[in-house]
Amino acid sequence: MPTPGATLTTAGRRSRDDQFADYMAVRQASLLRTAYLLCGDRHTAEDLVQTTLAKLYLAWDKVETQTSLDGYARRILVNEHNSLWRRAWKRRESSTGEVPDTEHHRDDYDDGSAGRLWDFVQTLPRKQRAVIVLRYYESLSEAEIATTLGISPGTVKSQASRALAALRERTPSHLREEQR
Amino acid sequence: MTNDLDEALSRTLREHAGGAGTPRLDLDDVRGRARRIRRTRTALVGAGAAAVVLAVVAPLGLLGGGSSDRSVDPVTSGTASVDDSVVRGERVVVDLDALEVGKPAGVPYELDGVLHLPSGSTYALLPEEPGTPVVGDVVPYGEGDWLVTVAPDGSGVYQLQRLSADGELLQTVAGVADGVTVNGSLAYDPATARVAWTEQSLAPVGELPERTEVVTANDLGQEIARNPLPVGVESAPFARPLGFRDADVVVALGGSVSVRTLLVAADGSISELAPEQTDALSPDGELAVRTQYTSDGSCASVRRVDDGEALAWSATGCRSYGGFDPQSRYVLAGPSEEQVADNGQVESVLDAATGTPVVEVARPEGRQSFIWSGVWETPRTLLVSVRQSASTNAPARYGLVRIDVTTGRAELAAPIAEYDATFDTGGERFFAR
Repeated sequence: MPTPGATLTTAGRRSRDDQFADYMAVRQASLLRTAYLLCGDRHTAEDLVQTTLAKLYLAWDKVETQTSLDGYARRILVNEHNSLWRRAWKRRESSTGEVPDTEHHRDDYDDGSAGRLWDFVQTLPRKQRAVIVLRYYESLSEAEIATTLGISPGTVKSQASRALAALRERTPSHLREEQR
Repeated sequence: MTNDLDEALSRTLREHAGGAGTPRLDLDDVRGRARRIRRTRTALVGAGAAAVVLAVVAPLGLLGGGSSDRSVDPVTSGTASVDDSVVRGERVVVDLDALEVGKPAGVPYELDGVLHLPSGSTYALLPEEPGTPVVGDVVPYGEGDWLVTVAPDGSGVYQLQRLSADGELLQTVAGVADGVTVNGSLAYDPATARVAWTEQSLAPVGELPERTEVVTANDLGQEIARNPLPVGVESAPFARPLGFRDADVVVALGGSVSVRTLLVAADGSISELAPEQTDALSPDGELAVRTQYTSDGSCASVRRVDDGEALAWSATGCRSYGGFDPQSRYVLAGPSEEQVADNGQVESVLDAATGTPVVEVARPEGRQSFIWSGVWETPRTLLVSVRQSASTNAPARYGLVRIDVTTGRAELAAPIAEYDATFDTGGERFFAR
């Protein structure tokens, strides 16, 4: 769900930890949902959020006056997610075009054919998936996504285009029509 | 007109976001993680990941720089050129069930928390968390010794130890007892046998280290230079030595937001080699793997260090590169989603100057197989870590496999490690260094 950027407005007298705890209480759930959509695993999502908040905590004195703490936190989250594979003890998996054999969630809002869309999204390469999540869940603009991912708006556009093309190939025919 | 796929995506993502569950972190959890990050100061590449634990991270640094040619094989060590009669485009199938056992690995490797040295000696590190690599990097040091970065608790807070050829701990060169931590990566110059590492003073959570230094030692294991690096202003600052360019040390310096590549001269003067992260440096200091942003997305490329010129093959598509051979002629390549220079999966060996495939590393059909963590053993042989099983859920076997790029043959460089529930984490068990 789209969320507005939070701005810290607490009084200067309050302690650093109190201020951070307030922000954390308000934003943790949102970060966790975005993390889950990025990685598709609850435990990994919790780990991502913990690391994200820890890095935000370390930088708190520098960033607390920024107008969009959420944007800063989101950037840490995405970068941290992109970094996960570098950890040698993490299981490495090949990117594949095949849909994992999992129990499929059936969405209520359609005839069930889009219920596999979540599975398809999870097969997207990491960067394309991040673009999709930021665009369709966080409702960020191309410019905002570019800032978050540290890439150019043109790259955002091309990554989104590739992701959508891949999804159209795998989804039911009534979702394939490209209507611009 | 509404785009049905756009709408379906928005709905599906909102629907599944609820699967994240309820947040359970409190401030103490976050502060604890912050303390660990702050102390670790390893490069998690900003992306990093990498940063990472060297070992983890390491790979970057690990593989990066001149830290490759550590074989003690007298036939192939040193800088002498080797027979270059490779068969271009050779396809090597790495099947643990079919490979024969060859000679033991010529470079150190870690298996289940035990460091195996080429002499056959071992050094047990007893990791606190089975399945987690505890050795960051290993390079020759002095007259027959080894210099090792280790983090037995898996925290990424590395200390620097000197081991004898027999695996005996001779000295802790730098560590927490000295008020410092070292980056897990070591830079090694095979031409001069010099070694470089970086030290950072320990600091309370939320504070920057008072000092960050790059230290250089000569072929006798004697410290010959100690130069300060600019103290960063970002969270999780790190300084990773990548390799040498003549007498100068190349260091990646940065934090959680940005990274740049610096050249540190012996007299302490510092110049910027690139305003960005360098993932790997060839042993001759001439070629660097860097990530660039193109119209096709984020792609790694091999560039000349002197002028930043991208070599022709960098335009062939988005892949990940890293791990130059000791003579800077070949480079490893893998899927773009991973970082080959950081223990990522290995798909091919390319000619570093042209991008021409030299060897394609193939998985056996009908098997679940992962091939990663490529480390050059000699200018012609590559070691990779392999996990193989009959299916996703079947018990796996693990192997350290040697691939000869001149003959296109593969063989085992260590006995197979059969399934062991204690150490089977779904990841690697062998870590060649």
